[in-house]
Amino acid sequence: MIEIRSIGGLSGSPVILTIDFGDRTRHSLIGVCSGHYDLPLAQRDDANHAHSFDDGTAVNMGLAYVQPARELIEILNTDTLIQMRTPPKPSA
Amino acid sequence: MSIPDSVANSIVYLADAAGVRGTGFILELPYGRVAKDGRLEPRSGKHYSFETGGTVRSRSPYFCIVTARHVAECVMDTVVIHANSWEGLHRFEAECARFEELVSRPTWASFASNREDNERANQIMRETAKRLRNEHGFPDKWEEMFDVTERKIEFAIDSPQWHFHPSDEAVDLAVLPFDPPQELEPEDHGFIAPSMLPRIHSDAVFRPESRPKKRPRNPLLGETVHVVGLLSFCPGDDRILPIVRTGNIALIPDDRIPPIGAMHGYS
Repeated sequence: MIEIRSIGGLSGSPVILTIDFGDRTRHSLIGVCSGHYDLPLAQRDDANHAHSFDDGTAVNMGLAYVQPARELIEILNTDTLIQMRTPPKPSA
Repeated sequence: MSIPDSVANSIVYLADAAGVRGTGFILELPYGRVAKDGRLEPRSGKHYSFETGGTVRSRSPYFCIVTARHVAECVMDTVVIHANSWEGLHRFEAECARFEELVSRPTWASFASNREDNERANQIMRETAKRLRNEHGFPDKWEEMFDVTERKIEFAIDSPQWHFHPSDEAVDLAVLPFDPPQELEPEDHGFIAPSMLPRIHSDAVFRPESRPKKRPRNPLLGETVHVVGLLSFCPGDDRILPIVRTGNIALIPDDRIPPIGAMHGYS
């Protein structure tokens, strides 16, 4: 889960982790953006309600859900996809 | 902190008759490629090398489009891919690198500094191409190679063969092997490469029995992340215009996250 002000249209976007080592920067694909959470109106207590933006719409919590890259790897490792990218054996 | 060119280049929008439904990205995988009819079709040509970071001449890699499953399920009949073409601007860069001595350093510096200004970059490209043609005997059609007026391309894939997670339907991921059009193929930067996948060496993607030689470094809470994707009300006319959003890792759960209010998938 990442904290980000996500908006409609970002589903399927790559989530890139950036690590600065000083002399170099490494970028990693850590997952795929899947959706975000809204603060449900029904769960607001009185204290929170006093600070809510309005009573008519849910509020974007600023938290987005990311499908981890390891699950992408699991898909890439299915037999069908492995077979597709296996070079054909040269004919004798 | 910026994102690498390969990430920006890999972004595509997925659309159907109703319009753009979400974002996807192109993932490069080595070895053979999948032809439109599903056969493996190794090709020869220039492509990006994962080992050297440069362009080498050998067999092209395998490509797939990755997106969220709920986006893929919106475009099951026909998916129209919107992407930025590699024609024009990028070809000019690659060609100028080949003819560096002729192009001259000041010209190259001027072009590089104006790269984001399409009009000015176009002007420099045209002037340089014209000079190379007049002074060095380049073919008449040479300038036309750098036409960047049509940078966005759209191509349709009928009955796309999406691949989902083999054992868990809740995984919101979809993979579509595809054969990219020629103008989409990278000439220098490449797309997102398997070496960018974390916690696992790229070889392990293809040979599950292999193990990474070095212990990988796990992402940490609070580290910076970028999300690159569609700005739904401004997808772009001449070229697609992905935006970059920046945030941080807020939670790395060991188990599935229980429902917290309403979760919205964008499509």
